[in-house]
Amino acid sequence: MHSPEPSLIPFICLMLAALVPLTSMVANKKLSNLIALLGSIIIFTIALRLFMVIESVGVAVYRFGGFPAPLGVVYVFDQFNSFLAVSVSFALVLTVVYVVVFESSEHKYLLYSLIYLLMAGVYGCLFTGDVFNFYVSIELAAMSSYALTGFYRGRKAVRAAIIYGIAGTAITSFLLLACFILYGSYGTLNIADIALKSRNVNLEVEFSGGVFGDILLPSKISLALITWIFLFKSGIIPNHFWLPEAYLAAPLPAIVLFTTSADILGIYGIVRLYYLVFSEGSLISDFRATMLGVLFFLGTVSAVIASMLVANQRTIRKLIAYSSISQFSLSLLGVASGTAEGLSGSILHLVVNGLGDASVLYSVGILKYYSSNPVKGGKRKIILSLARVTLIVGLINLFGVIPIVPGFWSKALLVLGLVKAGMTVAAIAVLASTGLCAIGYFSTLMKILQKYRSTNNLNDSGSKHDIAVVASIFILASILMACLGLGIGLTVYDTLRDKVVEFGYGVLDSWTYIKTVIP
Amino acid sequence: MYSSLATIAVPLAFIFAGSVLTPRFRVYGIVIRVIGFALFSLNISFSDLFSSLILLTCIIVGVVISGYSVKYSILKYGNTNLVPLLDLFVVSMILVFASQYLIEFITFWLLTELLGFFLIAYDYMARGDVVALYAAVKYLLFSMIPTDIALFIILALVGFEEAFTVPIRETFVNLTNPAILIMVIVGFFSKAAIFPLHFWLPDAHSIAPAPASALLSGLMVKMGIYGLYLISFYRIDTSLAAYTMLFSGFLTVVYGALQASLQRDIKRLLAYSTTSNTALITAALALYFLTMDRVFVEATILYTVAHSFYKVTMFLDSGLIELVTHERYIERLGYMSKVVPLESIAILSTILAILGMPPSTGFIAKVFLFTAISKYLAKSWVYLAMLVIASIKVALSIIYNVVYLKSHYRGDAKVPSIEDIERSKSVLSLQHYVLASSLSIYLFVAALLVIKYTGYIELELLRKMFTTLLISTILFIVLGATMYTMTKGLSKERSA
Repeated sequence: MHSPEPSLIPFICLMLAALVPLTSMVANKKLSNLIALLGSIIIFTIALRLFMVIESVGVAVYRFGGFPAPLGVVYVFDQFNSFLAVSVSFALVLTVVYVVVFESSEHKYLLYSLIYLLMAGVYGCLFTGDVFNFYVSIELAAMSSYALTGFYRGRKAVRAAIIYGIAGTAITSFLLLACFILYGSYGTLNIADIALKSRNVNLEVEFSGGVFGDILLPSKISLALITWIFLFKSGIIPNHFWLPEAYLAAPLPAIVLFTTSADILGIYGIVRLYYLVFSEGSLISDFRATMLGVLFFLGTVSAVIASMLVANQRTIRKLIAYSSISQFSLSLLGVASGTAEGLSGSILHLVVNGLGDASVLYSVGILKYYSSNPVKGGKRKIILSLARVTLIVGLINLFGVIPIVPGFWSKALLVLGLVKAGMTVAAIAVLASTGLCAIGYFSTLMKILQKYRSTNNLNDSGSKHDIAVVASIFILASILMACLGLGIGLTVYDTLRDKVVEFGYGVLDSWTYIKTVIP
Repeated sequence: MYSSLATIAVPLAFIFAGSVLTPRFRVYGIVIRVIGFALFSLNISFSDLFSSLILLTCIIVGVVISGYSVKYSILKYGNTNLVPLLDLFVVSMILVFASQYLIEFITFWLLTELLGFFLIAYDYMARGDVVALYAAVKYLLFSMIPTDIALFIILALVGFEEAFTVPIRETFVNLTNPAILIMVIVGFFSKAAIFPLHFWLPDAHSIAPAPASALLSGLMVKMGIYGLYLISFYRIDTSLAAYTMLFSGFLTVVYGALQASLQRDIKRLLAYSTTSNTALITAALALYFLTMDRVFVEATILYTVAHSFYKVTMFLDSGLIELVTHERYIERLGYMSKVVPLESIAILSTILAILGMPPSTGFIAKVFLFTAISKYLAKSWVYLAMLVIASIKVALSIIYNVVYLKSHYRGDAKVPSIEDIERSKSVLSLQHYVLASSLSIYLFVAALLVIKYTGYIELELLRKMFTTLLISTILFIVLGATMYTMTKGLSKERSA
């Protein structure tokens, strides 16, 4: 690895999680806001540079302490997780700006702390090449999300946090059990090493030796357990019960972070599990095929049911919750398809869902803010119309039927991949669930536009909120540019489309990953 | 590539400029927009009869509606916010019919559907009328979604490279799998409101504002027909497709026409009549699938054009009635000919046109259709069935058109007092647009003859009808002049 900065991202997050509350208590609050903001911008820059470096290099490995795998812990960067990292850091920047300007809780410093702990966990999960490190990071992310759910918002929030917390802790402890099983049978905790040994049982790798005894049964058990855990993490029906409660209770910026970063870890984990650790050539390939069939079934059922539930939601939070469940199920279908187009569609779909949810939630949040806080007339008009446009573009992105939004391309790739794999039922389910969700999106769009129409008559006075104006224009404009830029870019430049499909091929090509980690 | 971009960008710029100007300078705005729509005719290349004629229809309808919608929008809602939405709707439909490649076809199709949703829900946006929202959601679920499924299936079968590079009628799409073929056909059925996905149309088209209903009924359902026409270029099992279309088409023709005869609300009557007519057009197209004879395509497109003009005129008339009387039920109307005599003449001549009076497009369409059917009558029972259904349809259409006419002409109807109805000049001036729309159904024939003699299109039968058309045009002009002087005389008597 050329330089260690990308591996520092989780550590920067941990440092900020400690530094921000400290400065807000010792120094003044503005300094802590500034540090949080600067930190997020630094992380975004590093992630962006990482993505551009990986474009040229392919797969890169960073060894902590210089210890080679599987002796030490390694971070592995490939196109898949660097793309997701860019999307996550974009959401982080927007969220920190939103929290700096619009959140007015007296415990704001704790909010920053929890956000950065969540991010530390998420980045750790994305980058790590070690199973136990993965468990630790996912626990860190999960704990922070439990706390964020119940963040000083009353009894209902505490109840939601308890549901999420107890269920989550119970289920992720099975991940710990799976780690133990894998370690006990394979003798190693390194993902690439496990992947090597699952393909070739008699291999002896430097530092970790061979396997201990029969690894067939332990592999099957751990595959089943870990799949269940990741299905819970991404909220696939029937493991979705925590998601609507959590989304209803958590603060708005936390929900955006959940959809863009924490909940995608489930799908990310499933992709790594089924295409890297236990891929087609491994010793449990028939069991894996059965499990992929189960995923296909669950994904279809979950997508259709969740989209039917989207149609009659009253609040925007529950709408986003069920819509996210539906979109994650569609990504799961893409993963189950096994084709490169399906995988790349699924990856793009995670990012598209994040962008869409962020645009909807932030535009509604800004509309709500400006309906109760006066600001000068001309600027108000610009911000309100920008918010409405972002809302419309966000919902059209989630609906995904016009080629100028990236949602169209992710759905098209998913359908193409599923048709290529011969799973036409799933392709129909993708389109049917899109349509069913659309009812909810458009009804809610109409209701929101109606609700915030009459705020044009508010008395325009007071100009103390200039920073709010700048922040709202920044948030809305950057989301809009990201959505439309990605969409129009994908439509007009076929090199960009090929690059997205390349992500899928990169995931399927597990040997490059393994050989880079353990040469 | 760039020349086609220019032929789209320049008219769009005109229309955009016109929409910006319209709130302040109405007349200039309308004129610029009309020029913009006329410039879209640069896109007409007569390579394919169907798309070129329907493009011409869209442009003419766009020109007529551009004037009507401004006045209607101001009179009904107090602002001109409806106008850009309508313009954009017409433009996106023009772009659908003019698109060369599958990807732009899909893009503009989806854009049109989305705009259709907002138009149907316009009353909800402007006045909070929840019924409009429900009708729009029904449209979304039963018309938009099945069509999206059909389009995505075609896109998936074509692949991305060909969608961008191969012209739409030359792509190789393998639709031999019967299940997939049925799904695609039902998807287009849902757009054209044919059994089994026909029930969204009466609610949606009767709730939308009148110029929007005119565009939805007049042009948007024709997109479904265009989709069905396109699949004839692909590899399909033609007899399966044809029999499906015939089965659903026959059912819908009779059902729609019967329902239309029973309605008392003028807009619902027109909506049901739309389903019946599109079903007849689909059945004609199905016969093309069976025989592969060009005459059926020509009959289809001519009937489509005739029906488009007819529907647009009728919905514009319903809008005028609504603005003048604030009333939609035929029992309470009947005095329209006394209030707006010019309008009633326009409607009368449009109805006569669709029923087949020469020299209108409806006459030519019926000639083509029945000639084509009779050519094959002895070959199979299918053509006999088609003839029977078409005759039933003609009889029922006479019935429901007369029912509609009862809102204009009813002997015992008394004109209500001045407080109940509006007789302001601006409302009455809407008559001119309706008259223009109604005349276009006749002028279109003249346009066709001109184009034919320049050799771009090939309507064979038209050559044989030239003398008939000439004589009937002269008679028509005489008839029109007579009726005009008669009504003028009557109104002079009344005011004297």
